[in-house]
Amino acid sequence: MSRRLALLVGILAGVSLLSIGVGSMALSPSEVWDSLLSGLGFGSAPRVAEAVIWELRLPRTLAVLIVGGGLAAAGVGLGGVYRNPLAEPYLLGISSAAGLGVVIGSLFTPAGVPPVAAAILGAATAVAMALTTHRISAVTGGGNRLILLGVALGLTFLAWTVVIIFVGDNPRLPTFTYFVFGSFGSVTWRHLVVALPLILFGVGVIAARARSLDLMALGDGQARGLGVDVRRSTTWVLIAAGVASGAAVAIAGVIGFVGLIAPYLAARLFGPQHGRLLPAAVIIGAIFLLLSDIVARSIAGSVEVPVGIVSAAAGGLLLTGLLLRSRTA
Amino acid sequence: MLSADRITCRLDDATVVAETSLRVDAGEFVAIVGPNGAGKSTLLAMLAGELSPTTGTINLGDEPLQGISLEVRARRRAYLPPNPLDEIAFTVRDVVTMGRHPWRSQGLADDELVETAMRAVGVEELADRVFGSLSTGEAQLAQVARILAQETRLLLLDEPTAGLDISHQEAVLETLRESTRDFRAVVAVIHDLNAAASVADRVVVMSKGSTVALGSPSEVLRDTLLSEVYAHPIAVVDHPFRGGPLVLLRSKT
Repeated sequence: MSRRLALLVGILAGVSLLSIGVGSMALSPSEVWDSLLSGLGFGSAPRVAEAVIWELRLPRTLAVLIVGGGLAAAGVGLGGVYRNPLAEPYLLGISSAAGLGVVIGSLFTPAGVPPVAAAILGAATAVAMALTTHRISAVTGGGNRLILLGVALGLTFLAWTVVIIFVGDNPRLPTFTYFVFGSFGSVTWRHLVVALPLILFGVGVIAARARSLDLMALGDGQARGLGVDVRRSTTWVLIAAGVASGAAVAIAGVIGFVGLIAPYLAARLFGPQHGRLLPAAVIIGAIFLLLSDIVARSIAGSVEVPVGIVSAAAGGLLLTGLLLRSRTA
Repeated sequence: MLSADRITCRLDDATVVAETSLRVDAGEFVAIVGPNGAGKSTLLAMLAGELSPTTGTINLGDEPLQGISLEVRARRRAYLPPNPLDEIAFTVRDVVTMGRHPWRSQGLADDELVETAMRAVGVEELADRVFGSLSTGEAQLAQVARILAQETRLLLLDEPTAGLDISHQEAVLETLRESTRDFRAVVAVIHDLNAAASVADRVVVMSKGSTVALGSPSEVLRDTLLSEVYAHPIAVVDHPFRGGPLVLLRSKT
């Protein structure tokens, strides 16, 4: 592991402990550590602290971590396939498609059933949308016209999602603000059990295609000339990006810009090779979303701000900068 | 090594290449020349397997090209397409190293060959530069280095000297010529007729999708044929230094 990557892992560990400690019941890092250990049967810690950490903070922190990492991995995969740093699940409309799938899935999930159905339907609609972006790119190319179409479709999906949330008026449906702008407020261990394998699958598949994505930077034709089965790699990466972002949306709602910021910073720090870019982006995505979530929880006193609002505050600026620098129409 | 038997390519009802046959043997340099729109690039793309012929067959070695997997193909032939690369963030060394990709599964991802290929076309000093920051000519040289690093028996290049100054043009052609000495074969689309005459064993003259002449440079580069194909008066004289044909443009009036 390079020194830079080790440093990132260190920062991730620190921010994770901070995330577990921050909240209406503030806990110092040593209290966090004692409670974590006592939950595993080592030593002892105040019962309340242990309960808060194991029932609320730990699942929440892990959820932020995997959602941040999953969205970043999806951003790396999509950016590689379309050779466009703006190609990420939110701007391509993939996250919003997943959102629509999740609310429809929630409508038909009976009370007491784990949120598996909603997550799987969310992942399925996200995969369908990811594969659709490829159809669209046959017409528009992978440039910013594709992004514009993704934004347009994404807004449409979001509108229908909101209509269903209001008209459905169903307690099983997520609340509007927290779903459309993303939140980790209601995450439990049950959500994690569903989302973790899906996100690991997504990250794993993109990692397995890292070298193909490198060669595809030369252009599809030249990559094929060097023996890369471009069609197969593209399909798998799109499926993986869809599954990872769909699972992320299922547990946290629609969160934008993580898939844009993390790959961008990772490329600045680690260069364009996807084998090095991907792990760095996953860690940066997790750090970025953990920080966003900490801000979301603490900026307005006892009221929680949707985490997607915080990530958009930073991501919107980066998008503006990238668009100003971009030379393609 | 490579044989195309009466291949035709139709795109949107237009016949771009019609019933063309070509045999390329080991150790041979074949230049494809002809005016714009003659079908040279389409022919080369079909020979590379990048484009499937509408009718006709192509054999690479003694197997049909279409039946050979992408990976195996990439170990047998290298193809330089005509369009330049996007501005990518990889370094020149990264891009040239990609030429070794087909051999990776064979455990032959040899770094030494990457350095040799870069030296052969004189881009070793650009090795750590970001590809997107290169000039058109430098990028072209780096791409040729990638093709050389691929270490295939057959090299198919569409305008390998595009954007190069005369000394780099000469260096690239000489390097390609050199590679035919160890029984590699080179097929290149070349616009400069005198460059083609100086380097090729055989020249294919294409016009309107068909081969109108095929043979040694002195056999096919003749004033009447060229004047007709290029629709411009052309004179051919003996080259004062190396013998062989020297193609000169006449004025139209």
